This record gives sequence, C-alpha cells and structure tokens, in this order.
Amino acid sequence: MLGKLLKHDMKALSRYLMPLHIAVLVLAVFGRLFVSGRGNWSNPSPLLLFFIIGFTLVLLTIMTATSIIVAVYFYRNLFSKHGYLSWTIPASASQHLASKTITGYAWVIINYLIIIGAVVFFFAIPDIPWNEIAESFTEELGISFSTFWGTTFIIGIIGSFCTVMSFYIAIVLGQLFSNHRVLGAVIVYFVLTLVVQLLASVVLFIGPDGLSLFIVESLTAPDYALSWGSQYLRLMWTTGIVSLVEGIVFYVITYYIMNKKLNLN
Amino acid sequence: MKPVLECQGLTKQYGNFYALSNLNLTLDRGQIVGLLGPNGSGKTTLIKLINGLLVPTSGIVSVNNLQPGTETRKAVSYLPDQDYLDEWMKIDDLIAYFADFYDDFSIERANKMLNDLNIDSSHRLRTLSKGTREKVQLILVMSRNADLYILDEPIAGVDPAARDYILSTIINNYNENATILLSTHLIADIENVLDRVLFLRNGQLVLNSTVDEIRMEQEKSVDSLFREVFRC
Repeated sequence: MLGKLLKHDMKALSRYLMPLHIAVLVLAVFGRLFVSGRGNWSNPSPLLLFFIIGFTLVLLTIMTATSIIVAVYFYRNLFSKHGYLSWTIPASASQHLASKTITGYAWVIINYLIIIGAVVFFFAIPDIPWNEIAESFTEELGISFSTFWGTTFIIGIIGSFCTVMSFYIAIVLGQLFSNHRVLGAVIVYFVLTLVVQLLASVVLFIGPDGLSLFIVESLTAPDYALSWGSQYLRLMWTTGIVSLVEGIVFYVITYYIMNKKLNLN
Repeated sequence: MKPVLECQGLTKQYGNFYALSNLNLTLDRGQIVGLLGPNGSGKTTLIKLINGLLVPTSGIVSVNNLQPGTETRKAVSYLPDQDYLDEWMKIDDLIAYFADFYDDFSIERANKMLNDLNIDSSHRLRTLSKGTREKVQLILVMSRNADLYILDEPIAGVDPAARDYILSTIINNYNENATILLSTHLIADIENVLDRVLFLRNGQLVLNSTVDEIRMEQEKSVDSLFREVFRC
C-alpha cells in the first residue's frame, strides 16, 4: 500500500514541480551559454549583474514555491474535500504520513540539488579564479572551502526534513481548530517557528562552547579570525542535530493527530 | 450472519451541540436502506463516523464487527455529498487509481457504465458538467464489490432522466449480501427501491422500519410519512 501511495503522491507533486525545475535548468543553461560564459568578469557589464540578480530571485522563488507546493498538497490531499477519497482508501494514517513525508522530502531535496547544480553550472567558468578564492577562504576562516560547503550541504539536507515536518505539523494542528483551520495552521506555523528558533538559540548560545562565550573571546583574543571556521562547523552541526530531533518529534505528533484526532469538515 | 453495520450509543458532540446523540442501530446484509431526515439532522455526521472521517465523542461504530480503519475501508464503498475527486485527473486516471487501491474494483463494470451514459473516459473531470461529474463519481463507487455502499445524496445533482439509470445502476450493481445506505432528500424518487428507512431528527433515530411495514401498518408512502413527521 505504501508503494501505491508513493507512486500517486509523487505523480501528483511532480505535475506541479517538474515543469518549475525544468525551467530552472533551462535558465541555468541559457545563462551559462549566453551570459556568464561570455561575460567579462573583471569588469562586469550591467547585463551580467542584472542577470545574476534575476537568476538569484528566480532560484529563491522556486525554493519557496517548492516548499509551499509540498505543504499545500499535504493539506489538499488529506484535509480538503479530497480527503474524502484519501481517507477512505485502505491505507493507514502511518502509511499516508510516510508517503507524504518521503515524497515531500524527496522533492525538497531534488529542489536543493537542482538549485545547487544550476548555481555551480552558471558560475563554474574558467574566468573566475576559484582556486585562488578557495585558498584565501581557507586562510581567512581556518577550514577548507570543501569542508565549508560540504558541511553546509549536509546540514541543509538534514534541515530540509525539519522544514517539511514543520509544515505538516502546523497543518494537522490547524485541523484541531473547529473553524478557520487554514488560518489556524498558518498561525501555528509562525508560533511554532518562533518557539523553535528561541529554543535553538538557547542551545546555540549557552553551554561551554556556546556562541556567547566565543563572541566574547574572539573580541579579546588577537588571533580570533582563525577560529571562525571551526565555530561555524560547530554551529552547523548543532543546528543539524537540533533540526533532526525537531523533525522526529514533529513526525510523531503529526502521526498521533492524524491517527487519533481526524475530523474532516 | 453478522450484521454489516452496528452503532452502540454513538454520539458526536461539537461544543454544546450534539450532531448525533446516543444512536443505536444494526443493519443486516442484503437491503437498501434510506437514511432520511431534514438538513442538520445528523445524516452526514453518521456517514462520516462510519467511514472513520470523524472520531466519535462516545459510543462505538463497527463495520463487519471492526472499528473504522484500514480493514473496514476495504469493505465500504463511499460516495460523499460533494465533488471530492481531483479535477485535473482524467476519468481513465481515476479508474486506474480506484483499481490500484481497491482490490474489489471492476474496470469492466466502470467502462460499461461510462459507455451506457456516453461519457468519454479520456476527458478530464474539470471539463465535465456538475451532473456528469456526479455520475462519474457514482460509477466509480458502484464499480466495487463492497459489503456496504454508503451513498450521500447520489441523485441530487443529476437530471430526472439520468436518475432512473442511476437507481437501476444502484440496484443492479450490488450483490445480495451487500447493503446500501442511501441518504437523500428526494424521497419520492427513491422510495420504490428502498427496503428499509431510517428517520433521523436532531441527531437521534426516530424511526427504523421496513418500507412494507410503513405501507401496510400506517397505509402511507414513505414520502407522506416523512412530510408528516418532519412538518415545519
């Protein structure tokens, strides 16, 4: 049953998301062939700068749109009038949630990879001295260019799980309202995000290696610049672990409400 | 033979309002049952509870002695009272979807009924009229070999000419061990196909009787009795 749900959920999500991401790739190829590949990087033209700004805005829009489409599909499929079909096929709440989580998370990661791929493809041109940039980066921050981006990439993948689950839990908590459930879900999402950010900040700032101690020490120590890189890694891994725990807690609560508190309007 | 549906002390409360109150009901197999009552009497609430779309405040509802869940969904074929299918899907896609999820779905039966009603299965749902969409929904639901069919207002949006076909479809497409629970306001149209009627008022069952008993003992049609009981 889970396999069937995955197939249909993936098909439904891809209907909206596939064209968007194909458009991103086409734009990246166009940009590489006609803009970045032909541009004068030592003296960038207004057209080059304009395209870079536009390209960045498109990528940010597609990232936001992907998250919104995943969240809206979860709501529409399970809690709008379409829920009358979804909840009367012989699938359990755990199967529904697993399918929506896997397909939603898969598309968020696909989005992540395509955005990174598009950026790399656009900027990876011989005119830009990437080796020199990487060397000076390592010199300034004390960690290698690849460690920095590798860690950022992995934490991004972990954080995406938490992002998907925070949408889902907000939507199911919104269903506990007797009226205005969509508005309820939006309010729950912002309140939940605020609370989680506050808790995460407490974890990041307080403790023997906390950011607050680092900031004080870095301002007084003469060679503080070298430790920014390792502090960044610590920050990212702490964020990753906190996100993973949050995502798992959100998943369990979402499942409980879907299984025990379903009340379709 | 065990009953297909049982409700014991079934109650659904929203704040201080009782949508359904202490309802006790047993339905045996092999009958067409009319679930009748004015707006807000609790018909759709009862139907949603049977399908597990609502959680009861108290009491028990069971289908084939099982509480609503994955197993009962295999036994119940449900037609909601609204457009509930994705409108961007083609009818062929919907047939494939139903065949994928319901082992008892008959593609042949669905295609035959679509042909009878001259509905092209390559069309997307959103291109069809409201009445045709309702016919498609009913065809999908009646193409299953379920134990319990629950039809919420199945003929409300279709023209009178199509009603006869739909009613004959309902009668001809369920086996003798299955039960149909049918909610409607159009009592006169369906009276002749009903074996039993249930009257609901303010979330409570006020009548549970066979159509023959009503005709023989009260010498009234179901429609007349309904108008008498629920006179405003």
